[in-house]
Formats: sequence, C-alpha cells, structure tokens
Amino acid sequence: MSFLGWSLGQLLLAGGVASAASVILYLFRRRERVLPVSFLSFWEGALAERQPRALLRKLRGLLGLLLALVILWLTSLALGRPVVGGASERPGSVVLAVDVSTSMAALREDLPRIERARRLAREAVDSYPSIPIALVTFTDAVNVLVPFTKNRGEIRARLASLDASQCPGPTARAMETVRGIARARDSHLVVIGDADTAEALGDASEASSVTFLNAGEAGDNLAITEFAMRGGLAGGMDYETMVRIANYGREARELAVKIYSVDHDRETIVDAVSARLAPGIEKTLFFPSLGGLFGRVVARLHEPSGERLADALSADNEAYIYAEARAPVRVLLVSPGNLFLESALAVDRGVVVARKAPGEVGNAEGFDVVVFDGLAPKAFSHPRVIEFPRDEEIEALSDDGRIGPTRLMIAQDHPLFLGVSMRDIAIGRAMKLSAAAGDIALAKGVAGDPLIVESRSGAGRRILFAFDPCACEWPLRAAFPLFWANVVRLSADRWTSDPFASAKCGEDYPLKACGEATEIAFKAPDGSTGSIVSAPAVAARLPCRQIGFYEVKSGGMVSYVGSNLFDGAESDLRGKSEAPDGSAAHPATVRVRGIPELWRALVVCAAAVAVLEWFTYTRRWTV
Amino acid sequence: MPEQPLFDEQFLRKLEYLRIVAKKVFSGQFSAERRAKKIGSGLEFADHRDYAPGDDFRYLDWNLYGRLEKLLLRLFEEEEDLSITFLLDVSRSMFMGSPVKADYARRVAAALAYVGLANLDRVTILPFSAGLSGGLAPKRGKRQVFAVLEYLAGLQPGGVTDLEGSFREFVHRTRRRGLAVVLSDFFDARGFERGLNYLRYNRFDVYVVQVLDAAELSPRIAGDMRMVDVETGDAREVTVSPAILAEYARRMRTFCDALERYCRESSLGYVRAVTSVPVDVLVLSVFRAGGFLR
Repeated sequence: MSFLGWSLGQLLLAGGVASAASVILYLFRRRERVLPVSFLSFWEGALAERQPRALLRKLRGLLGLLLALVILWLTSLALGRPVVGGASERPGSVVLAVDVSTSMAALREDLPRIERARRLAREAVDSYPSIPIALVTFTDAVNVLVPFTKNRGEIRARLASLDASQCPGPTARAMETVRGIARARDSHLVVIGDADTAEALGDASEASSVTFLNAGEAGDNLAITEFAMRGGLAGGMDYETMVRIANYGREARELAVKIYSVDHDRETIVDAVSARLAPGIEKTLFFPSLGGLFGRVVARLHEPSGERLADALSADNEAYIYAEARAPVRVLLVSPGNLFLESALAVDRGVVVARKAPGEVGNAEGFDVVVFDGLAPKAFSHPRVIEFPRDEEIEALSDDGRIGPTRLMIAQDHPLFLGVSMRDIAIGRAMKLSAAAGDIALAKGVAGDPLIVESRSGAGRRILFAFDPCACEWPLRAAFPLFWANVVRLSADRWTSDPFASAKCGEDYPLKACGEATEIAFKAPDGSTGSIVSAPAVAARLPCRQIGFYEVKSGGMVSYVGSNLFDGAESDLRGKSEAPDGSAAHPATVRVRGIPELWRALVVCAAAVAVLEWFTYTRRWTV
Repeated sequence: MPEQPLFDEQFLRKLEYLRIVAKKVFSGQFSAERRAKKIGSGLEFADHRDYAPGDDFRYLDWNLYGRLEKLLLRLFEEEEDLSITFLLDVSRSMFMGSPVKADYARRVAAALAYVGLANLDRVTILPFSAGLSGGLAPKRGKRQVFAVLEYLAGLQPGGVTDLEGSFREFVHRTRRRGLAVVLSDFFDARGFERGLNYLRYNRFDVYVVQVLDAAELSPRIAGDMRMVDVETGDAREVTVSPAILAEYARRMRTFCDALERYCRESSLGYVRAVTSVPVDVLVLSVFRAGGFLR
C-alpha cells in the first residue's frame, strides 16, 4: 500500500503528531460538564443501582479516546488516497488510446459512441491515480494528444474536447503503433473503441497489459460505399454515374438516392431513384446520363418520404465527386480513306473527326489531335500526333528496317489499354523503331521490339505505331474502337489518369503535377484553409481528412476534390464477432481493473465510527 | 433578582382580577360572617365597604353618600381577624429552573397575599431556608399590597433547606394562629413531615404549595456529567442514560405523591405548582379547590 509517496518514518511521525493532538483535544473535550441540580438525593438513588463501576467507567473513557483516534487515523489515511496492491501490481504508466474514427460518431439513442468513449476514458483516468498517463487518439494514423503526465486536469480537458473524426477506422498497423508507444515505457495500454477497434487489436486484447473498453453498441446503418463517374463511349459529352449503396442493418429498407449538382453552394437535384435493400445487401445504381452534368456532384440518401436519411452514422449518407467539364476532342484524320479507322473513331461521341486527304493537311490548328493514316510528313508540326505506317510503306522498307511477324505484348496497366484486351493479335510486319531517350514503349513484340511508342517533348505528345493497325485482325476486335478512344484522349490529354476528383477520406489525394514549383492553396469542407507546395514533376498530395468538397486553387485555377468515407468497415455498425445464436455481437466491455482505492471505504468507516462515538459519548441534551 | 420586573403591569392587572373572582367565590354563604367580623368596635378606621341589607345604620358614611350618592359602611380594625402567613422557601434550590421557582413562588404568594389584603386579612411574609430569615411585618388592607410586592421582589437566595428548623422557629415566634401557606419545593434531605407536623400541632391551618420546575419532573439530559447539588455542594460524576432518567422520574413522582398523600391524610391543603402553569391559572385552581379562603 502506498500513501502519498511518504516513507514509513514520515508516516509514523505525522501519525504520532496527529495522535498527540487528538489526545489533547480529546482530553479537553472530555472535561466533564458540570450540571447543578436542585436535589442530588433523587439522582443518587437512581444512580445507585445502575451506575457502572469506576473501573468500567474508566475503561469506557479510554474506549472513547480510542474511537477518536480511530476516526483520526481513518480520515488521515483517506486523505492520502491509499491504493491496494504493491508495485508489481501497479503499472508504472498508462497509455490511454481512444479510437476517433468515423464509426465513433455513430449514434445510439442520440448519443454518439465518442461520448461513451469520453466517459470510459474519464473513468479510466480516475482508476489510475498518481501515475503518468499518456492520451493518444487513432484512426488509421496515431496522434499523441498528451504525452505522459500526472496532470489530470490537462488530460480531462483534452478528453472533453475529443470528437470523432471523419477518417476511417484503425488498421492493424495503427494499433501496432499504439502498442509500440505503450511498450516503449512498459505501460499498461487501455484502448477505447468499438468493434472495428477490437478487430484491429486482434489477439492483443487478450494480453494482460492491454485493456479494451467497448464504447460502441451494434446498430443499423445505410451507406454509400462508392460513387463514381466515367466517360462512356455512347454518352457523348455526358458521364455515366454509378452509386453503390449498402444496407448494414437487420431489416430491409426503402430509400431514395438523389443526385445533386452543386453550384456556388446551391444544390440542384439532377436525378433520383428509389431502391429497396434487403439486410446485408449491396446494390449498384446506374445513372446513364445526367444531362451533361459536370462540376461538383453530390449523391445523397433520402427516406422514401423525401427527408434526408437519419440513421446511426450520417457521414456515409452523402458522397462527393468532382467531374471535369467534358469537351469534345477534335481530331483531324489524314487518310485517303480508312473505313475501319473512321468507324472506330466515330464510336466515341466525344470525338469529333474531320478527314482530310494526305497532301491537303495544311494548317492543323484548331484540332486537338492529328491522326495520320500513314507516316506523317517530316515537316508537319503539331503537338499531338498519332501516326502509323500503312502496310505498303512497311513493305517498301528494307529487311533491316522491318520486323515481324510477331504478337503484340502490351502494358496492360497503361491507361491506353484501359478496357482493352489485345492478346493474341498477330502482327504481320512492322517497321523497326528506335526509341529515343525518354520515349515510352507502350507495346512490344515478342522479341521486345517496340511496336507502339510514345514520345514527349515539352507539352507535345507523339504516338507512333510500328505497324498498320488496320492491316491485322485487330479492327475485327470489339475493343478496337475503345482503343482508339483511349489513344485519342490520351494524346489530347483530355483523359487524365483521373478526370474525376474523388478521394477517400484519410488518404492524401495526388494533385496534377505542375511544370513549375508552385504553392497550392486549399480550403477544407469545414472552411479551414491550408497550402501545399508542389515540386516539379512531383505530384502534390492533398491531405483529405474531412468528408465533403475540398476547394483547390492553383495558378489562378479553381478545382475541387470530393472526399468520401467509402469504408464498409466503418459503415458497418453491426459488429464483427458472432454471438452464439448467429447474430452479430460486439465485444464485451472489460471493466478497467485499475488500482483499487480505499479512501471511500475509509471515509465511510470513519463516519460510522464517528456516529458511534457521538451516540455513545457526545450526545447530550442540556437541561 | 429577576432580569425582568417580578411584578409588572400585566401581573398587577391579574391580581385585581383574582381579587374579584375570589370575592365572587366567597360572596355567598360566608359573606355576612366575614363582614360581621370586620365591623368591629375598634376605633381605628380601616376601610369602606358597600352597604348590605341588615348592616348597622350607625356605620354609614353619610359624607361619602353626599359626594357619591352611594351607601358605604365604615369599617374599623377588628382585633380578631384572620392572619395569613406566607412561609416562602428561598433556599438555593428554589432559585433553579426556567422560570425560576422562587420567582414563581413569589408571584403566587403575591397573588394570594393580595386577595388576603383585599379581604382585610393580616398578611405576613416569612422567607426561610436553613431557618427564618427576616420577614415582612403583618400588613392589612389593599393599600399595603405594594409594600408586600416590594418586599417579595427584594428577597435574596438563602442556603440549604431546613423545613423542620424553620417551621419550629416560626411556631415559637408566632403567637397569633391562622393560615400558614408554605411555598416550597420541599427538597429537604430530612424530609417534610416533621416540619409540617410542627405547624399542624401548633394549630395552624396549613396550605401547601409545592413548587416544581417541569425539567425537574422530567429532565432531558444524557451522557457524562458532574452533578452538583446547589444547596449542599455535593458532587457526583454520573453517566445519565434513559434508564437512569426513568428511575429518577419515578423517584420524583413517588416523593411528590407522598407529600400530597400526607397533606390529604393530615387535612392540609395541597397544590402542586409546576412553573409551566401560569400563575393566575394556578391561583384560580386553588380557589376552586377550596381550603384557602374561608
């Protein structure tokens, strides 16, 4: 048992002084009250039979003194807040880790989980008196709010301001970081979270040095788990929109999904669809055309009555995406006539093709891309050129300048081949290309000869085919038009790696690399501002920590990035473990073992002894 | 001396009221006899009273009739009149209680003395404790009431209580017999019988007023204390418990009942005056019980 950190000698000295003072006070108080009476004879007659003997009276007096001393010692011990347990049973320090992921904002009876977490944290702080405690919060990253300190006021103040973030939940790596913080000082780890936390903690929750406190209860939730747009071939300037919704509940739900266009903070509904979701089911809703919608787009869940959906977790009831305006790609096709190629280019309604015969090209200004059916003239100058030799041009080359037959080996992960399978396309003959430094071979032959090469010079881009794509079986493939849509858009830089800005909250979103170092300013959904420095050829990364639209300003241009939860683990509030009856169950809350304090019991005992002493000795009624 | 005047305006008004009541109580059967006694052949003018049919015309005061047109008889001092002696206990035990028993006893004595004075009785006040201490010379007539009150107000506490010694001294000193009103708590270690017997055997009509404080009958004390007898100075360290209190109350009750029984058996008037009862209520009960005023 420890006592205010005093040594035994100090304790005995203090106790001796206090006891001496108590004895003096007691003797003073025990000075008998003198009561004058009219006729003592009556009293003597009454007392004769019932008064205890002198010895017993003295013992009784000493007992009263002893009771007073007991009261003094009990009260003094209580002030010292002694604890039970030796040094081996008391941790030297405690790390208090609180999960502040999005799921901690889930409501139950109008109270968020984070509120219960705050309460559990306060109880945990009270359970470990007089030892250093560090306060840590975590999502998928760890943040030390308060380093090890004995200042309970500081810890409580930070706990009071604790709130759930909008970032997804803890990963095993984050939990390992938390455990590392605890291990560094051999601290006891108290983790407060929900089922996701327990899952991330894994078997570590069974360790004696770890205490898990469950702040979450199972709940039902509907969520948008994905919101995406893409430029379809048949959509023209339009985007195809997809919304995936999920029912993480125990009952089927009717709901409506509405698409809004946001302009100057004003929302305009664009489309809506109703859906019915069985429990535990995900469903993907398609919106083939939103009437040329671009810019900031919001998908939102509603009740069938039209009101906004009010479920346990509201952070996943909306999704945000920013779609760049889609302008047609103007293509100049220089060809004597190529039905396959013309037909393929015409499939993409976002591509506007003008055809000119070779020799009539002239000035190609005003076109985004120039496609040469045949090798381009050497004097021709345009920043975006796609060219391929005609078969007869390859035939005219010397043997040294030709390769083939071969097959086409492509870099499948390149955006050029998105949605395109070019396996087993046999190339009869191709011209031998020599890739210069900086050129990128987008496709090669079996022997490694570059067959499709991308050259960049400044802002220009040139894509050169080593073979006539219309001279093989390729035009007969269904993906042939899609390939040409990719080629044209890639060449025109009209189809960036991500024409839609949609990020997952908690991650850093890569912004476009700029040619020069520049400072990019951004404004978060809550209005807070910040800036990031963009280095040449290095993509700046926007830290997305809130759900909503981030406004990004760079070089006088304003764009947006939609930040979303899109985390099924966070949205699923049903719990991870399974109860014996098969229903989902949340991990049980373990009571913080803490360090048992005795002061309350001591105060109660002191009060009881004081009542006994008063009743026996002090209670007096005056005449 | 009490902090507040012992006999204030309110008390004096009550005295007059009591006199009127007493007069009504005794205005019947005994009135003529008393008047006859009063109209004596003495030369000393004493007082006036209203004419009643049958009175001697010779004693009508025609001067007053001329002034007041009211028939009044002159009364002269009668040698054979009733003597009332108030034996007032002023021992230290009587100066205990709230209100102080001695103050209460003095107010009772004052009330009864006033009635006696109004009836032209001879009223004497004799304080006693260990023996008689001083005393007020006999007074007669309503005009002497203030002298009586002033004397009563000036009484000081005495010492221990000695009923036998005090009463023995009284009977030896007093030649005139009459009514002896004893106002005391009767807390005498030697008992009360021998003292009262002195009065009885010497042909005094005795009226006992036992004055007690309510807290003496049922004390509310508890715990450890040192009890000190205010008269003897004897002390005792005691621990008072509810059982002790019950035993004390029983003994006190037994004592009071014994005194009352003795008085009844000896044809002595008795009233137990608890200081919580207003003085006028007590005096009226004395009148109604009879035996005080004849």
